Amino acid sequence: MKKLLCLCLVILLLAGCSNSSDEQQTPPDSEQSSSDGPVQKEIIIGRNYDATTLDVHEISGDDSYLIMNLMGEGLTRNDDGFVSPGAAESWDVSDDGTEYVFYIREDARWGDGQPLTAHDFAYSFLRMLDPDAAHYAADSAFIFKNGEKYFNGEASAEDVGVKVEDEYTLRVTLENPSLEALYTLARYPFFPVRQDVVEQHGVSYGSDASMVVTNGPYNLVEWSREDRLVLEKNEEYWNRDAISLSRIINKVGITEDTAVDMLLAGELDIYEFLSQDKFSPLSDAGFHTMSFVSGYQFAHMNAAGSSETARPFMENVNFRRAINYAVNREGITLSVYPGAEPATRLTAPTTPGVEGLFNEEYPYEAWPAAGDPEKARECLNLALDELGATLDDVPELSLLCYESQGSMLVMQAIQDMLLSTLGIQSSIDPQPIQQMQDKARRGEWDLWWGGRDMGALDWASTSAVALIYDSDDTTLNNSYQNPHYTELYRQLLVADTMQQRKDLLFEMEKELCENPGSVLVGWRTTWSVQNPRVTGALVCNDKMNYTYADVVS
Amino acid sequence: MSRYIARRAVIALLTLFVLATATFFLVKLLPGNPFLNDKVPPEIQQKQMEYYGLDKPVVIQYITYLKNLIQGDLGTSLKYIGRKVTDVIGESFPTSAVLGLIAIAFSQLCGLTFGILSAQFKNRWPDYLLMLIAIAGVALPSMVIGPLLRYAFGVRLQILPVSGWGSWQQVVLPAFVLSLSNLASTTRNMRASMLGVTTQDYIRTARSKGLPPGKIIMRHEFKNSMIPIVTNLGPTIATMIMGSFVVEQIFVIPGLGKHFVNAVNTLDYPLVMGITIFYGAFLVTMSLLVDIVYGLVDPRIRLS
Repeated sequence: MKKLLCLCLVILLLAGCSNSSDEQQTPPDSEQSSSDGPVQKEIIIGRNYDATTLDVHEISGDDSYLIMNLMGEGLTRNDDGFVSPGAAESWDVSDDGTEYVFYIREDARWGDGQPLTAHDFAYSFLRMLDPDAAHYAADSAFIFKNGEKYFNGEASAEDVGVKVEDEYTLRVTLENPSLEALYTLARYPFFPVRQDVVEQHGVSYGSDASMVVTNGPYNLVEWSREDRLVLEKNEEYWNRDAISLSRIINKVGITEDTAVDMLLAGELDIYEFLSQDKFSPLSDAGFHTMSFVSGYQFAHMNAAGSSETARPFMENVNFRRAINYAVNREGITLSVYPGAEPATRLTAPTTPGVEGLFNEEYPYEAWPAAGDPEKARECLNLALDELGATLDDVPELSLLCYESQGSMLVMQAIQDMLLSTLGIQSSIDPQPIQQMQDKARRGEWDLWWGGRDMGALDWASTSAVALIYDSDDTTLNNSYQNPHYTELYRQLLVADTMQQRKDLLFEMEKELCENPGSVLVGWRTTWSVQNPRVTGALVCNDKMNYTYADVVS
Repeated sequence: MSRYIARRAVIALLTLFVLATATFFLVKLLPGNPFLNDKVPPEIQQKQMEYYGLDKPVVIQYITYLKNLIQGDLGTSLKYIGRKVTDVIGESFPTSAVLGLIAIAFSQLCGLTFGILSAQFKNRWPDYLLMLIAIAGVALPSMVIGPLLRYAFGVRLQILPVSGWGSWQQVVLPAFVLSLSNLASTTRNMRASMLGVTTQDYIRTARSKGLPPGKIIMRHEFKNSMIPIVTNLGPTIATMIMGSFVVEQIFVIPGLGKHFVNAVNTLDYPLVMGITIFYGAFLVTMSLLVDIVYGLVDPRIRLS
């Protein structure tokens, strides 16, 4: 009996060891070159979270989009902060900025070789808005004319501003003239999906490698849940000559501590860290890092005020400037968000300039990190003069925030700063998420604390400018308007040279610093730590872009 | 015997029913909902709730769930969109099972051996050494030992891989770390059990009969000492196999433990329910199996 038990255990042991998938045991710096083909190059990227779905219309802000960005491609591309042609090789924009005509390249193909046409894009954009399906991405498509109405059942699919003119021409009409459309359309919710594949798999579409077909630089060949995703170069991709890697392996479920050991042992090539102290042994071992700003913290200012009494004050530019100068950002980041960098201007530290860093080419300190109490009082007095009011007339401001520990601490700090520097009273209004968003929408706030991932602003060159002036933002009440800024941005989008673009960006930044719509407090940084053999990684605003990566021996 | 099994089976089903009900309502009590996301407007969150039937009254949801459960449908995960819960469990459980079985095999083999040796060399240096190992195994948490061994063997010495699952080298460290606490407790239990058995009359009889000491130990003392060990074996196997979350995370092993914790954090109701019921069923089955083995090991129990 005992012997039988032992025998069973031994058999199970052997069975368990041999029936698992092939594990690549050789460290990744061994390139396998086949005798008759090109050299096989691959990199291994480590991540903490697995993807949840590969249906672009269901990705809800988790890491799925990082994989998706390698698999799919929209009408336009955003590789390094600027728009470039994607599936569409060119486009026309109408003068009023509401009509776009995209000319899709005729050699565009899906990963399985089928031709990619305007029909695919029209189908995808309409699917996003399907009233019966409740896709996560639905609200992204509200930029299209009648998009929201169609979603709410108040219009039909024919009314939506997405029209196929011919096989390779797509006409898009926007609900509002949007200056960011080209950047928005480069993002993953606007990647095309294949109608026949979606219909074949129904609810399971996008839940496995065999249940999705994409049109980007890489195809997904394997997805083992909570283990890995394996991507291989798409030989049908129109720009395949620019792609050097043959395989990218994404290992998931890796925490920062484990990642350090894996990088040192050669089981990972790349990992993105949130805290600098974790990866110091790697820097010593020769790994190189690329950092990017992954998020920012700010307080919106409601230019319409929380009430009729607050309105004249919040409307006044100098009043808002006073608040801006009164905030001690250094203090807030040190005590509430250690590791974040206090902001002294609106462009993120990693914003690319003409040739180097934007912040070096256009040095500018809009306000000191510790605040400027004197200037704050000056601005307040100017404001009061302009309004013919006194300090006593200023109503109690309402500081809205999420009821988390961190948010409330920050608002307390700001409340204190407003009182001690400017003598302005304020009350903190912590709310649970639903109520907070409702209040925000109704405008019942003067300041509203929020943190964002950089991806929330998808318009590249200005996503570095954390203004939060985003006319597509459905959670704001759009109280702040700045026609001069809008005009500058319009010019930027049609600028011919990088120098012109960056000059205009600087003008825009100064405009927003002098006429603030929000109080930007700090930047959150992420570091991409890479094995020295990896080259070609790009920082694309708020994320890394490994599409064009390469390995050197 | 078959009546015994039948009775135990009925009790098992009742236990599972209570487990499912309790878990269902407890999970619903957790604050928030699975679709809470400040990047998504409330209208869409509401539509998602309706789509998955989460806006209906709780009792209706419960009845629907039970109906599906009886037919073997554990539902679809809310986080892994489109994936059936049975698929998620089916993919990750074998990994946890193999890891757990290897860890158990190792811990039992070593634990029993150490226990026997410890008892034989009672109060001499081998005993003290093995007891020290036992205490260390219980006292050192896996989240300390794991990274330490991983760094030592994977990074410094480079003789074992740091992470992953699939080759025998990748099994060594995680199985070892997972087995430690059970190894320690088995050693101690076996030692105590053996020492208790040694003083029994029938052992004295065997000695006076002139049986060789090896035979006395292995045939008589060992078998009788096994009973407390076997008692613990059922729940231990179940726990080890269901995945040690910490070990799986340290060595990046795609097992069930990680799914369990993630599911609760993301309020993935179907997955939480599915894994809980699966765990419950597994635990109950293991208990039943152990009780049967009990009967085989000890004829006294069989006859009563």
